[in-house]
Amino acid sequence: MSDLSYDEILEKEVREANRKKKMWRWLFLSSVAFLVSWILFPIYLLAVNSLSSADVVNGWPKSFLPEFDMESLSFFMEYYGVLNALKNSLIAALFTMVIAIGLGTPAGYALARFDFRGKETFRMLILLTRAFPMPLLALPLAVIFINVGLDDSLFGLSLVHTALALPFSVLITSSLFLGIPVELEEAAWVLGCNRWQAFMKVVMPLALPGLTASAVFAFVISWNEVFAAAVLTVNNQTLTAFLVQSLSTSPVEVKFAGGLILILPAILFLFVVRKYLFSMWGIANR
Amino acid sequence: MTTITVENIKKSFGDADILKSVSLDIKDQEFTVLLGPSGCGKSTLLRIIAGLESQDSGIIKIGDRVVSHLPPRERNVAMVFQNYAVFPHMTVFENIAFGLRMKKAPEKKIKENVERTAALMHIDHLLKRYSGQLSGGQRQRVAVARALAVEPDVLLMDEPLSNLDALLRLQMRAELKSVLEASKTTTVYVTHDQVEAMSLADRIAVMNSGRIDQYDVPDEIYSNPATEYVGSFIGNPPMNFISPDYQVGTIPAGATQLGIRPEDFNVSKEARDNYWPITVLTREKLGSHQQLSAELNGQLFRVNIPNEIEIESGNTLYLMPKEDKKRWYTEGGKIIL
Ligand SMILES: Nc1ncnc2c1ncn2[C@@H]1O[C@H](COP(=O)(O)OP(=O)(O)O)[C@@H](O)[C@H]1O
Ligand SMILES: [Mg+2]
Repeated sequence: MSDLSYDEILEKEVREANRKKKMWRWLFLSSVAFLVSWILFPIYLLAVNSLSSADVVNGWPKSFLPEFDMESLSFFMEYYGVLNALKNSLIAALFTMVIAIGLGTPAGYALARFDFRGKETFRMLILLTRAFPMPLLALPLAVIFINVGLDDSLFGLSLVHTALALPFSVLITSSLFLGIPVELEEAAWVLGCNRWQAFMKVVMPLALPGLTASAVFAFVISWNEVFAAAVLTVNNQTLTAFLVQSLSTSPVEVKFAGGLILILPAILFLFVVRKYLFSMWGIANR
Repeated sequence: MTTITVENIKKSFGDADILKSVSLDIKDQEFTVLLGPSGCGKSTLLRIIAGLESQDSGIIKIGDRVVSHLPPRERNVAMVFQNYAVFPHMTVFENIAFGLRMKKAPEKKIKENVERTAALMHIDHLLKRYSGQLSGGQRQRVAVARALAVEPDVLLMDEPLSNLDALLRLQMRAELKSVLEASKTTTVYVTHDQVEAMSLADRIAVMNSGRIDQYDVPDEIYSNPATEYVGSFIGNPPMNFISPDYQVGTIPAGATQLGIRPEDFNVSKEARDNYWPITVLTREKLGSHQQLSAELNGQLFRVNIPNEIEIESGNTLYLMPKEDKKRWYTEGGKIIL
């Protein structure tokens, strides 16, 4: 050791540190790659199989390249009841979106701007609503809905979906409003606005992109929900409920097509709103 | 005539009494600075005047109008915030026009006022920009122009220069002074910077944890600090407070402290009658004068002396407070007049 100069020792240490840094970086990147493919690979297979003809889907060896054969997809779309279920899904999701935003925005604003007793408890309760799994709630809900006459109605279903979506609407919107400096509102008040005018003229325009994201998120939660939909609707089935019941006996390539059509809106949505989801998680983790 | 009357305003947050019965009488067109260290309640008082915060008790009057229970929009005040609060989704023009639009001013007047105040603040070339395209100093100008454009009865500013870098702050300070002098608007300005306060204010209200210790013109604040607190907050270095054991001559009844500014000593290198022998600890040359820290029997002094006196640390110097500059303070730190 003694015949190594100081510079040489230093250089060696720097090299060692660089090697470690590279190793961590490599480990990090490969974990990310693994997690990403964990999600993307099944989606890719779903897409390939929906875009392939029945023979290819059922044959061997499997192809990993799509043929762009539209037969399964068009068969699925023409299947009796699909279009109606699609329409029902759309209506339930729109209802859910409107109610969740209508209730979630004021609640989010209150969480962001006011100090009130039990605020932390309220925040916890909002998250806790997600602690009861739908399978547990669906049957009692069905009984209640039959008693009040809401059974088999899209409105009743969207109330349940709103219960699922509302926590997210509240948390997303409250994080949005937290990100808008309160001085902007105060400046507006001093310059002649009442609270409502200041909200509409200053807060709303700044929060609009995020509010849109939150609305679409509520839409997708309703769109994706299966269990409550299957239990609570009979004649007015949504697409998910319809698929659960009708596709269990369908050929496999049609199942693929149904699956693809089902997840497409969610994927598109995630691309649009991923920025706002991060800020929401920032809040939920605190 | 826009006077501001603050009468016995009290405010607490939870258990903390932030304002303990504050009163101020601000004259028409006067520039008042609320000065005090961070956390003493300056912003809270300003926000109560604006109506952004509600007082627990007390009254605010603007002119003859009691406004204490009116919302901000009905007080005809304008406010400049520390972080500027320029609306990011509006152009500079729309920002400055905002208050006038809310008051439903005619389009012609809006255009006139916006252009006039923008020119005044030298931002007339930026009217089409958004706040994201402006520097900090430019945003500051927009905030001031927006406040002036509504021709408020009262202009309130909360540390408006503190986010600017040092050079810009000096420049803006000078500019603000001339703009506000010309606008003749009654102004309340919050700062923790005594130099800013001294240079801008007609009168300074020195705040000490929720109270106003002294409300007076800058010269009075400097030469006759009403309390020990004011004396040690204003001035750099602050006033010396010395136990009267050292004093020769008459001590007023009740006095427990002598207050004397560092520049108010007679200084001699030779021993003289009634002069105190002090030991010089450190000496700093500051260009216009030298600043000493010195000691006598454990009592520390700050002394400013002319450059001509040659002195080294460790030397002894002889001091006597100038008779007309002595100020006496009670046990509780109040001046004896
Ligand atoms: N909304 C509030 N809730 C609780 N405490 C507050 C609130 N606003 C101010 N305070 C407290 O009041 C004190 C004075 O604050 P402030 O008026 O902002 O002081 P300054 O402007 O002089 O620095 C501080 O200790 C601050 O923490
Ligand atoms: Mg403050």
